[in-house]
Amino acid sequence: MKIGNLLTELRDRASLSKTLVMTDGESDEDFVFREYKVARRSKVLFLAAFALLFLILVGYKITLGEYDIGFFDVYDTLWKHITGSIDPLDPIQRMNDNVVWEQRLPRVLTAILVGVGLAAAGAAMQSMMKNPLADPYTTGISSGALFGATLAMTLGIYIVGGYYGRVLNAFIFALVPAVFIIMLSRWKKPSPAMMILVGIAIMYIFNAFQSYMMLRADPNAASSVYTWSVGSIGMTTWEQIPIIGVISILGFAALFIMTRTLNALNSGDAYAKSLGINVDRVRILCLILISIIAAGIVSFTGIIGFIGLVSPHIARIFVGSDNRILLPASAMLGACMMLICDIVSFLIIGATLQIGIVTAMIGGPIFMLILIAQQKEVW
Amino acid sequence: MVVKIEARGLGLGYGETRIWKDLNLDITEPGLVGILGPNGVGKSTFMYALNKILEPIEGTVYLDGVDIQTMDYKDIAKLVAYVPQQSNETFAMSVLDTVMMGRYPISGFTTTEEDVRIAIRCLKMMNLTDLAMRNFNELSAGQHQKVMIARGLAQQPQILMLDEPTSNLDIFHQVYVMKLLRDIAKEQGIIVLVICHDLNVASRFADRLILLNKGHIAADGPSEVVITPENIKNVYNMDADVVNSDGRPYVIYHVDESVSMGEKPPSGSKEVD
Amino acid sequence: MKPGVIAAVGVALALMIGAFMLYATADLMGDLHPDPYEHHIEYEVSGEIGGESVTGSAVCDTLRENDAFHNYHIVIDAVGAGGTAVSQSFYVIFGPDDIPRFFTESDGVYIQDSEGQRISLVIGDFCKISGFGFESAGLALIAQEVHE
Repeated sequence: MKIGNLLTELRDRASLSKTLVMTDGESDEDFVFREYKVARRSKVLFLAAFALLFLILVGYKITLGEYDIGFFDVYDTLWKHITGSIDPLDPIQRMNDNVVWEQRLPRVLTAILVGVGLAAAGAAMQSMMKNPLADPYTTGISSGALFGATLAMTLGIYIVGGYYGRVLNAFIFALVPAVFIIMLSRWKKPSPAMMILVGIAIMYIFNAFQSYMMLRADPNAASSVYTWSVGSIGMTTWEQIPIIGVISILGFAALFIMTRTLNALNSGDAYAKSLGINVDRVRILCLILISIIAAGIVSFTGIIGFIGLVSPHIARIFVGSDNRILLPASAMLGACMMLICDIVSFLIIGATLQIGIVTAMIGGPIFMLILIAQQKEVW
Repeated sequence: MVVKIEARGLGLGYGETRIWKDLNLDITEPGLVGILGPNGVGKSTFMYALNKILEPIEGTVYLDGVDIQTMDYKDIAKLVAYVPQQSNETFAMSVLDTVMMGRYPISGFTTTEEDVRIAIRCLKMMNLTDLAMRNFNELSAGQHQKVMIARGLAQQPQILMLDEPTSNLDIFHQVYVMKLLRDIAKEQGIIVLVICHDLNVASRFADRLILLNKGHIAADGPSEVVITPENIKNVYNMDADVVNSDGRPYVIYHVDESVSMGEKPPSGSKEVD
Repeated sequence: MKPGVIAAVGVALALMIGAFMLYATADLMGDLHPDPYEHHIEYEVSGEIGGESVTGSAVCDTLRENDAFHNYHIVIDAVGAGGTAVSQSFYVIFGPDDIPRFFTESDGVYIQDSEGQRISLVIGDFCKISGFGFESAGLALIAQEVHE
């Protein structure tokens, strides 16, 4: 297929390893070592390229919005804010500052943190489950969160009251599937199949209750639930950023520490055990980390799909399956995808479309393209 | 210094099925040890018990006098390497990266240059350097097996266990891989355990053979002792002559054309009473 | 095509359709229950500039940036009796508490004084600016929401 050839050709031309030739007197072993170094370098270069793309997207996104502020004025305002030199007597400066710093920046940061968290969790989930179709919600997290949010918004039942009542509801119920799996693992081995089946079972139960609540709710509340469920990053302010930030960044760091273990899981449980890995314990630990990241993000933003599923696949095309590079690359691409979706949403449709729709509309075709166009049997 | 394997009163099984009962076995000398026996007799199961992939129902396994139940998976991995029969990688890496996974028990999270060089050396031993940067999933079954053997070698273990490492290899590789394993066992003074189906290849290279049948050890010792027409008839239900070749027993099989496989009673079994 | 590919394509399609259905529902429900903070308001403007009397109109539109805040842009288009064109515009940003930022409240009216300009706002529910005043050197305008 033409598209497939183009993709792999681009990738191969960018990665320098195709051009190596053995020099005279060089031993086989030295040549392979050189090939290895070159392949490593090209992966790092790709990572740097993704980082550059990321910076460009952030730089562009922050200048976009319905509130009209010129491109350079945006950066001027940012600089003034950072250096503390916003003129308190100039209302235009103060309002620009509010728009850029209080309104746009949290939105951009949320997009980045959500992208990083979901993509890293997705990559880890796919490795842990040995399943290319896994994403952070595979074990039923999204239905738990939806149930919790519906409980709060239609029946006013909060586990913990207060301003963050709905968020906490969603978070707590999103963790229910993971708790079930952990409890069940005392009797049944926590294999990927077991986890997915438990997730599906709990999903059906939660969905049933949630549907019932929606039927009985008044239309206003029901409408709010639908809106929440689609997934949006428009509601976050600086107050929530630290929490989301901690969840995403710490979650990513924790998963990164586990990457070499995840690599070993890839070859099968028996071989992984022979390498010294307590496979069952590792799976449970991974599940806990992924659940906290996904549940944490979902409870703030609603269900944003495709980022966790597609980012690892795109990253895999460029940097391969070694989780030590795949995880950071996925995270970077996840952030880029979120920014691209937000930018596209603004430029084409206007600022009112929630990002959950856009990630589906963009992520879906990209995923299908990857599947059809893949020449090499990555999976 | 060889790490001794001692099994005492070992009972193994999966769920309701019992495969081994009261198995006692000592492997205390370095060298190539071949494990032979009919299908389903429990050769792989025995191997799983040696590095805690399968926990025994009863009995104990000692590695150098230490009960492996008291040992952490990580510590066992520093001593014992396992080469599985088949690979089932979901997300494959390059061949070199796959072999480097064998270094995990020793180097932990980071990959040192030393690790890379050891891995490349193991690839060279298996004649795989041309494939080093290829994606593991693009290789044939035979090449998979060779990569997995290289991966086991890269772990630099004291005990190397291989489950039918030559089942997909051509004659050249069947012979020369076994020769390589024997040479490594001798040079490094380690125990190399191989599950093998080809009696002749095993006989030619193994220092010791253990023949298993129906839940017990049918024969144990050097090739001359184990490879006999009586043993072959008892265990495999095959008529054969044993001659001398290169100083080792060589089996010539006789096929009974008048009988079909369905009429012959099965040899070996999973269940033990 | 391998079965795995077909399965994955099916999953992708199903997720896309699901997301679209959600959007359609959210949109429909949104139409039935529109966002109360979204305003498009037309005003009648009157006042004087340098002695001339001024008449005209003004429009208030909503600018969405962050859903926790509500931003509005008011554009005044008026003309004086002697032909002097009067075009002014300003922004109002409401915080999550529905109170306009950078304005001070006095007797129910929100006032902002800056650089020789004074803007006064009369605010209703959901940040609706039902009327406003705009004063600067020689210019004084009052706008009232046009009621159909």
